Amino acid sequence: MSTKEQNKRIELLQGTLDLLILRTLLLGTAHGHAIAKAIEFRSDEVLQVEQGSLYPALHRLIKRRWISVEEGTSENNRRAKFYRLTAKGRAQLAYETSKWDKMVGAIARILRPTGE
Amino acid sequence: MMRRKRMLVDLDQDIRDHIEMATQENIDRGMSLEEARYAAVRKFGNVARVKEDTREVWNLVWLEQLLRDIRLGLRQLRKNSGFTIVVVLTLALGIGASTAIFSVVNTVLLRPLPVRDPERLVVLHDQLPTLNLPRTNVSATQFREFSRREDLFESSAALLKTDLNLTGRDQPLRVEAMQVTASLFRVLRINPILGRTFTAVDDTYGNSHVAMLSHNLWQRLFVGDRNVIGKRLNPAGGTYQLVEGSFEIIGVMPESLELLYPHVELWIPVAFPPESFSEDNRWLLAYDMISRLRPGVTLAQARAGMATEAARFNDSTFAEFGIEVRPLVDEQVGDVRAPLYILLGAVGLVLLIACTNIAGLVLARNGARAREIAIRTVIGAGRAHIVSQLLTESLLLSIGGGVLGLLLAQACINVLIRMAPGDLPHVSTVRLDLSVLSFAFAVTLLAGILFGLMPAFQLARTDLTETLKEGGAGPGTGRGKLRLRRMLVVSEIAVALVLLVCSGLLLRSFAKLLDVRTGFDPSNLLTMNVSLSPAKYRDGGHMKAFSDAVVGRVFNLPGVTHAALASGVPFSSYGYNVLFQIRNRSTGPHDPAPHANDMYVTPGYFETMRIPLIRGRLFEPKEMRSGNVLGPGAVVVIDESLAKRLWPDSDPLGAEIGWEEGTWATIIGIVGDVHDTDLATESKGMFYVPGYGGTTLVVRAASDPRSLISAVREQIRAVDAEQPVYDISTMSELVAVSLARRRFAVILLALFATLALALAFIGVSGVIAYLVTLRTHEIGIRLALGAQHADVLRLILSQGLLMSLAGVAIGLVAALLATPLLASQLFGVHPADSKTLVAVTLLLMAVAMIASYLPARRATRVDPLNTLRCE
Repeated sequence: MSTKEQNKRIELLQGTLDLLILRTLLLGTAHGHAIAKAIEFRSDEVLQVEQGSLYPALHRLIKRRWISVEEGTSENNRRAKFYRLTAKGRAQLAYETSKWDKMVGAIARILRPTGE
Repeated sequence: MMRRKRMLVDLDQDIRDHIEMATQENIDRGMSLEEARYAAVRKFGNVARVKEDTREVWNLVWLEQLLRDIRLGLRQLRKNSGFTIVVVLTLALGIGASTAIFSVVNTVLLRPLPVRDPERLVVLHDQLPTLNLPRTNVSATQFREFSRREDLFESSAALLKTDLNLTGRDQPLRVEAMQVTASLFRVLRINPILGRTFTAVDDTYGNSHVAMLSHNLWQRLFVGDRNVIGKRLNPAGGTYQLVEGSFEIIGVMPESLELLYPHVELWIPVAFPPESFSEDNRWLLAYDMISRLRPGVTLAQARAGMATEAARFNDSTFAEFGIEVRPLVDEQVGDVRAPLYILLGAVGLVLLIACTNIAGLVLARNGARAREIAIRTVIGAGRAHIVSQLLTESLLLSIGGGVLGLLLAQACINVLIRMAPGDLPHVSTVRLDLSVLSFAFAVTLLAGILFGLMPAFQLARTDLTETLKEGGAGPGTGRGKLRLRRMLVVSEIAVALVLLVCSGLLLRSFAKLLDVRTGFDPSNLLTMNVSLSPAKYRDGGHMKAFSDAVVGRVFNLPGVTHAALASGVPFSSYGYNVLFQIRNRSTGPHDPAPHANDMYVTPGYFETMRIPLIRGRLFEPKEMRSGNVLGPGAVVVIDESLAKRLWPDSDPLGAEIGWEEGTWATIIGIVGDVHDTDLATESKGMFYVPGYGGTTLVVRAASDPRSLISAVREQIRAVDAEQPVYDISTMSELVAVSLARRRFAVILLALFATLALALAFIGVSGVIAYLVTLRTHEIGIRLALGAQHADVLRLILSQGLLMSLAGVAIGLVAALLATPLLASQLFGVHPADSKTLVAVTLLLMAVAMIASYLPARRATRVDPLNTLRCE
């Protein structure tokens, strides 16, 4: 897997993993592995989830009550933990997204000033 | 924390599932099982590390939150630096004062005595109220009989204070010694740190040539030499007369015993001589008696048993006779207990005021923050989180106040030790110890939680919409909050009033004491004692030679106007209570025999002391006697109170008194009363005899008496260089020392009262300022409608007046209930002294009015336009 176009992949920025997890869960509940896969898939495999940071991130979000956990069965009928976005998490996602947009805009203006 | 545990329990399983799913996926993509598994694990990374990181999330978040709370708290406190400083200082003052006083009380009152099971130890006293001896020593016969009651006492010991001179050194040395029965060590359950204690053989008359050193004397004379056992000491006189020859040192006492007997330097066996048990000495009340109660015996049982013993022993010799059984702890602490408890109460009150003040301040500030907190609640801050934030802030304040308070306490303790009278037991060992430290922190934390929670409860009741709607009107104006603050200030004023009344009463007592005439002129008087060897000065002739030589030589010194020798001086060691008879007056068998203190003086004594002659005449030199002071041809001088007591309706001049038939002496003069032990005690009656035997020298100087000390010592040395001189002091110093305890208590209580007054000032002015802020809008409208500044001032001041009136009323009732507890400490002042009550009330009202005036004046400066625009 990691043999393919190694140089095209970029590591996630600090803190963006939280945002991406929240965004992923906006579509519905998912278990840990599915979240990692979804992020990679939806970024055309450009974003590489450092899986070692996935579980700490999930727990951090639980602790802040932005996501909740429930028991369920995975697609192949195994017991698994499913993560779900809470109302607070939804609000946080909205806030983080707007912050992200502002930041991206600002960085873009610095990198490619108009009139260049 | 519960959640943390639950979340981490299944972590292993989660990770296993995750890797398994990834493996399955890889297989689906066509890898072999082994390949698939390897790729999945590699992608996941270090499992142990992941678990570690996940676990850390929970620790970190918790810690982060605390740190965030603390940071936020510190920022808030910095932003309100005025508030912070006032609160921290108030706390520091309260905690500092309470810790310092608690340290003193802990050491003096609560610290156990340096013996095993001290609560089982009792001291026995004779009580002879008809002889004006409410609590005195026991006789040897009494000791022997009482200690036979082994059903009550496991063991008993007798002690006799004495002193002796040690020679064979460059300077003669006088040491204070204690003669004790060998049983003392069993009673106290103490062991020597070196050598052995006394045996029954050591404690036998004629066989007693051994001594034990106090730790102090061992260090002083032998520099702690462990080979001191077996060395010899050469006594040469002093009061101790029973032994010829030298003592062998057999042991060294532990240092801790000096807490119980601070002045004793040498211990020797009492070795009762046979005549101490003779019929003549049946009532020679000379010994201290200490006993250990038998296990299971209560104090009440011992008292009942001793009541029977007293009746049996007395056999109607005296009209009233009793044996007091007193716990050693009471004996040690004595009358220090009442003032110390009063101080402890004062400390509690000050701490209470401090906490009340802080609660008020926090409430007011919280009012101002109500909107901020309401907004935070609306945008989703949990109530619990807001409470924890408030608590963090209060605890930060408490810890700040606590640390500052401890520093203050250390400083206070240093000052207290320096100020304390020397006879306060163990006072030099007072230091900030662990129990005091924990007490201080308990108080700090309690205060923190107390005033941290009060606003938190209020918040819980906060109606958000109300608070937000109040909007422009400024800080939260709930009527309930204002009422609570008013109540706090009212109680603060009440408590301050109680403290002020107490210290006012003590101050007035002290002033009255200072006004008391001692009965002599203490200025420019020098006194010192000479310890004469009884072997060398064994009869009246030797004493006369010594006395005449010393008085004559000292009198001729330049700067000396008068000099005399006496058997004691007031405010130091003073006469003995003796029984005597009056010629031609029979006393019934049950009437109290006449008694008085007696003093041996040389003729110049009254002139030297400036004790006024009321009637008759004073002694002439030719009337001095060296043998029997009473007897045919002898004369005495009595004081006024004895004259009034025994000759209420007749003239004592010319009357005769004596020990018994045939020893009559004629009363030739009446002199003024002298306060003998302290200013609060009246003279019990005194007669003076012109006799040799006194070893206390009194010298009246033309100017500063201290400048004469070395010259006077030199003259005594010239007469006899072997006799040690001790207890050198001026008379003014002796009088001051007798007042030292009282002065200590007065200063401390006055400090507390001042502190309470200052805190009450802060409290009143704080609540009025708050009130003004609340009513700014209303005041603006009033001013706009034409109200005068004076009207506004009156409006605000009336609020302050109302609060202080309520506080003073409650305080007066509380003070009247509290001051009777002070009665034992008062002198010449009634506990409900109206002058003190009125003065204190006026003072407090004035302070309260000034405290309200300052913020009220600000109210008059309100600009009506500004307030209306604020709307």
